[in-house]
Amino acid sequence: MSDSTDSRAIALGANRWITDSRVYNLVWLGRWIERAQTIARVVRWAARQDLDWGSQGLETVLGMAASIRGVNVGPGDTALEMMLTRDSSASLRGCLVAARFNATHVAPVEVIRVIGAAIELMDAQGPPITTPEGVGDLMDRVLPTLEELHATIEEAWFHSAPLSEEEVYRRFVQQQQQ
Amino acid sequence: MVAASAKGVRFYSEWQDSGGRVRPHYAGLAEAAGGLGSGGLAGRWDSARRRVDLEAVTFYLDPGSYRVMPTDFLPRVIPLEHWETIAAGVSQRIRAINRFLADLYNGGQDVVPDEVIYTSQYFYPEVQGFRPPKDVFVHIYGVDLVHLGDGRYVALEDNLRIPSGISYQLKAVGLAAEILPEFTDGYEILSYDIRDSYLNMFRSLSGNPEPVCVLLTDGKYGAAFFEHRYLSDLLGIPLVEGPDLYVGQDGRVYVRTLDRDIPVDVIYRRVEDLDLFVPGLRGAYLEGKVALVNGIGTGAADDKLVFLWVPQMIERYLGEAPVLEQAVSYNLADLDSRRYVLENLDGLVIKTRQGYGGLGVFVMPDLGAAYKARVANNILQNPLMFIAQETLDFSQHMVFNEQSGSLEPRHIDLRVFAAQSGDGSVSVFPGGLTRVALPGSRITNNSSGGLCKPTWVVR
Repeated sequence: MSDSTDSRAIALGANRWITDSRVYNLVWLGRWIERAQTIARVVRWAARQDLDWGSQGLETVLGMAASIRGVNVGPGDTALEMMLTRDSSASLRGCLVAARFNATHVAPVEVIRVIGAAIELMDAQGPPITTPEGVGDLMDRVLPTLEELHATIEEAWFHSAPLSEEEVYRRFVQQQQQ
Repeated sequence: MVAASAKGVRFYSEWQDSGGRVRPHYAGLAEAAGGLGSGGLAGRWDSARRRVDLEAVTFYLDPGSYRVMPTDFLPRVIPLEHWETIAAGVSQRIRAINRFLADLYNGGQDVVPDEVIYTSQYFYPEVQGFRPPKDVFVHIYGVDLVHLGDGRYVALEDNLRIPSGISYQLKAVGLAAEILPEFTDGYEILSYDIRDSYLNMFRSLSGNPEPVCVLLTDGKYGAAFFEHRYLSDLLGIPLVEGPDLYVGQDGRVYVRTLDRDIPVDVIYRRVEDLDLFVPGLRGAYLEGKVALVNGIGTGAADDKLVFLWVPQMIERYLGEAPVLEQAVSYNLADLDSRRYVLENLDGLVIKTRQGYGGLGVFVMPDLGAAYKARVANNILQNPLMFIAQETLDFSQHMVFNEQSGSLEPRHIDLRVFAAQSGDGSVSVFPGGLTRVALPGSRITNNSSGGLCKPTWVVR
């Protein structure tokens, strides 16, 4: 093992190598977050459209939205539950849970924490919300958390502490050697 | 705040003596907890639990189902004089076991009967004749101890394949210090750094002074994935999954990255079935192309029946008397032992030889008659599959019950971790993972629903 040609070794840090599994988890983290945001926006839009019609109307609008997204609302199901809390990749909560699994593999703890906070908001509700006002209020709280997630990702991944001169030089030398 | 009285209780209480007086090394904690009161403690526990939840300090029992590690933040305190005995005993065990494994796979051992070795699921004949770097098979070691009282610690089992839990130990201690800072007042807690010990150990296994090291995980749904990620971050080594690695034409192991494929010197593996994750990895290790932490074949000494002979290993290979006692155990293949066990089932614990995580552990005094009969029948059918141990009335520790607002006693054990480098030196990390059984149970394993607890060694 003494003939290793790579001197980057331990000191290089865990997060510098972009392995297949990191790419996979990064891509899916992005997709789940995007999907969660889309669902939250659609639900908020539906809740606002529906304010005059009551719960029945909200269910109708969300049923159409679900259908457009390819989600089948079966007999005994409600579109609201399928879009918000059902334990599946079609729901907002399901997307956030899936995003958190990917984040535990690849994201800084700050990102994991914000996803957790969004899930916490969803779980903090007592009995299921059915009124358009309640649904709209919940989405008004969840969406800013998801927007905070973007800022956190930006901060954690792209604005980390500046590199020391020594580190910049070390990387330069390594690059030349390669 | 109400603490359950120790009077009339038959188990040793870490927290208080038989007269119900708080032990001297717990006086500071008892005062701090009393100062906060039930409401204050409940609030802090709530904050701590939220941190654990938001930061994904997880231990999954069901893959794909998010579950955080249940933790009681009231620290366990181990006096330094107790710790010195523990550390000496743990160091002795890992050194003796490594000497035994080197002997076992190189044809010379005569400590453990052959029929025991050859019936062990984790004895790998293909390892025979193989000498790992510096003859060390087990680099990271965990031993489960219980405290019977007054500094008498007894070994229950050795963990030699993929000992798990050190990250939960570090996280629990760190969180307790942040969320309950008043608890540490007046205590001088032994601190330690596993990073340097681990990295120096990795270096010692490779001829390369700057080895390329990776941590091989079974993925984000694995039970202890939090630990894999935590250690990868702490050690600064990439976290890789099976498909990230491959064995090249030259027999070396490579990690695929977007830049290029990089040869790997040391794999800190957290998976058991190596070839399932990376085809050819076992062969690469046996050809000396890569170092594995821990090596292949260590499970032969992890077998709960082989455990019976660890004291003899210590005497044979180190020429020393064992520092730590171990639970009195019985080989059920032996007719007299089997007869004794079947006649005295009520006072014994029956374990399957290869079980882990609390699976296959039957605490007979805690079982009903029908269940006992089933276990006895299984012993008669497959005596070589089980061992028996005397049931130990091991210690209890106070746990804060948020519902009742009181402190309640629960059984605890202690998993102590150690690392052995290629130069033979051993680091035993002060403290360990204290695991707490559920109410009415003596099974402390986290896989069986047990909690963990921060652990301090204090001067």
